[in-house]
Amino acid sequence: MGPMLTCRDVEHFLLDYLEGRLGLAKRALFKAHLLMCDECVRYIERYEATIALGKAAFDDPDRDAADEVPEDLIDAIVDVQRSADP
Amino acid sequence: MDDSQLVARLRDKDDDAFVDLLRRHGPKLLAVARRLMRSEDDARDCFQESMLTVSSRIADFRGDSALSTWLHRIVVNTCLQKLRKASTRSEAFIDDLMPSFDDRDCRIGESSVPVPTPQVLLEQAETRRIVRAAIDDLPDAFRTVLVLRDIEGLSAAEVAELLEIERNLVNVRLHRARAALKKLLEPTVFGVGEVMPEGAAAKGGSK
Repeated sequence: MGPMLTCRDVEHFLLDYLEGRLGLAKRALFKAHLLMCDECVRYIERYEATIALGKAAFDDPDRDAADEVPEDLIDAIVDVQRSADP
Repeated sequence: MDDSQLVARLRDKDDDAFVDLLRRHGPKLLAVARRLMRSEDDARDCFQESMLTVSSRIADFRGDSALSTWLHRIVVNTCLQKLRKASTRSEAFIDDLMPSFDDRDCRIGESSVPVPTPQVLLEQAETRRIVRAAIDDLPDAFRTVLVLRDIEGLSAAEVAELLEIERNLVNVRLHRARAALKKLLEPTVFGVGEVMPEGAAAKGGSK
């Protein structure tokens, strides 16, 4: 029997697979495993959704307004800078 | 006025130039500090410290990268220094969130509940807040890599250099951080209960 990948192998190589670093042979083995393993397919779906959620978590239209630098902070920084660097 | 003029005025110690810098570039940089630090106070402290560093080191800016890139790097470095000094949640916390395998190396405990698209999940008002809180729960070594790679968009090579670790370790930590975050989001955002090996009660819950 050929060198089939286990689920643990899939976990080990997942980042390499998603970032395109697996060689052709290993990539084929990886895909073959996914054809037969619903658990890994679901895991990778949730894993990829997690990445997207992480990226989107800070893209909040309501938060953008909050990222204006508060005036008191600007004043505080300028005060320190001026006293340090007359 | 473009950035090169701003830099020239900063080098000339033009008082107004520094305020202009804070207004023009400040919002994005404060946002970076807020993403990296856990509290608003820490974010403001790091932002302030970074901007003072910028002011005193403007002569070092050689213009071979964009001003915004140089500023971003200073903020990230300042935040990382502060994070290094702070106590961090133990790495055992991450181990408990890693996926499980049986003695044939088959994956266990992965729910077969279909996975909604991120777009659908993000339509829920609470999702972003929950995800941010879960990211904050991760130990610093893992959280930092996740934030720098996935949110700040730095390359593995850049993160390796910033954190002074091997690129391989950056990848390992990124993967584990993502796997841990997935696990933390399962009971809430993904709405799946923890599927335990037989004999153990299910924790958390899809209700």
